[in-house]
Amino acid sequence: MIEKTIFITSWLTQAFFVLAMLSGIPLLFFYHTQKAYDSVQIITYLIPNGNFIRKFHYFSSEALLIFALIHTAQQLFRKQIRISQSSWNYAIAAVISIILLLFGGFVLKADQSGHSAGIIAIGMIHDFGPFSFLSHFLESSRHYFYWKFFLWHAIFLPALLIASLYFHIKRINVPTEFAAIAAGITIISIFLLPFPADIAPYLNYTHIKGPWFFNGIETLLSKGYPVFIILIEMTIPFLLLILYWRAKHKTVISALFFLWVIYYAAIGSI
Amino acid sequence: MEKVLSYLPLAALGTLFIPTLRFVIFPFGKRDKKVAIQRNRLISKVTKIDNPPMFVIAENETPVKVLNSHCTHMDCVVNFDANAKRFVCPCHGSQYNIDGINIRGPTKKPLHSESFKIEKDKIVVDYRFYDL
Repeated sequence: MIEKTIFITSWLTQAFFVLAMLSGIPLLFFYHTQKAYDSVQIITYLIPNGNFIRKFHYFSSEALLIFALIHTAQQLFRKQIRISQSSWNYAIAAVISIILLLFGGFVLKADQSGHSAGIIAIGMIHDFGPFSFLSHFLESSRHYFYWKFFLWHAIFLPALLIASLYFHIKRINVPTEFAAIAAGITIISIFLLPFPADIAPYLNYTHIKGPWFFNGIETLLSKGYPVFIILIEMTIPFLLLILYWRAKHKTVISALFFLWVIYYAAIGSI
Repeated sequence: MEKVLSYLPLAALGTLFIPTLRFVIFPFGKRDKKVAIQRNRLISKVTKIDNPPMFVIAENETPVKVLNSHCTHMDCVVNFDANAKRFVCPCHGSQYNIDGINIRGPTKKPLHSESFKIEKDKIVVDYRFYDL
């Protein structure tokens, strides 16, 4: 079963990636980092079909992450790994790139939740001991707050993801039928699923949330856990995945991985 | 000799690394600044200033305190809950009383207070950027 479906999720992940990338390109034409929130509102409400393209970009990206995670989970249930260690590691790099890409997109919508998520990300890296200097790769002046996030989201991370995918599967070639299925799923999602509302910067909100895949981190931060501990915890699943290829007792590693996922989902739902 | 020369491109790249890194991580624009606020904007006890984010606390239209709006937990911008008369961080729920003193976690520190002086019809705030 897994052997048959693993290729389907692989093709669908690639198809969603291509759709997310293609739908992101027109948004670049009207996104302005200095007037980020205003430009997002202009895209959404003033430019013809802007709302549709924005939703298409959002839902295809969400589906990209979901299918990438399903594809990763499927690998852990396989009897044996049929790819080289470097190919495996590139897949892990691709998953990390996808998570960071989605986070960047969340920040770039530039509403209260996006802006806060950006500030928190910078703060967390700033608190990460010897790696604190890395925060400068995200941090800009007040007027250009979104500029470096924009660079990462529109240039560096897509390039990293394309390279990782290419080295993982040695080609990026989406069959038309999978592209059609992915486009269909995205369009159905646009009409059936709720699209998160933008919270204007001047509104007096008492509670805002980050992206769903960072809910666990939000909970730990709310409970006052030290940032260093939280970031170490977040590296665990990726370290387990890196170890998995070489591990003799793969069942133990995959069991630990899924235990971590259950733990993270549990704290995220608090 | 040939082997040594083969490392030259690598050495050239290494030479570029430090200046490039220093260039990229330069904290441009993150400097303390003076911000002037017209006094006629102080229409209530707590006035929210958006850019840069701060709250001016006034009594009888006379400013008595200026609080930096950045939460001292993770730097999010706090909002003022007029009913509870508290500053509430929308990110992780830290709360501060009207004097900026932390009354509920996760933060362990009060809001930063900014120094200011009154000049005729405006107040001039020494706005500071804080490391967390």
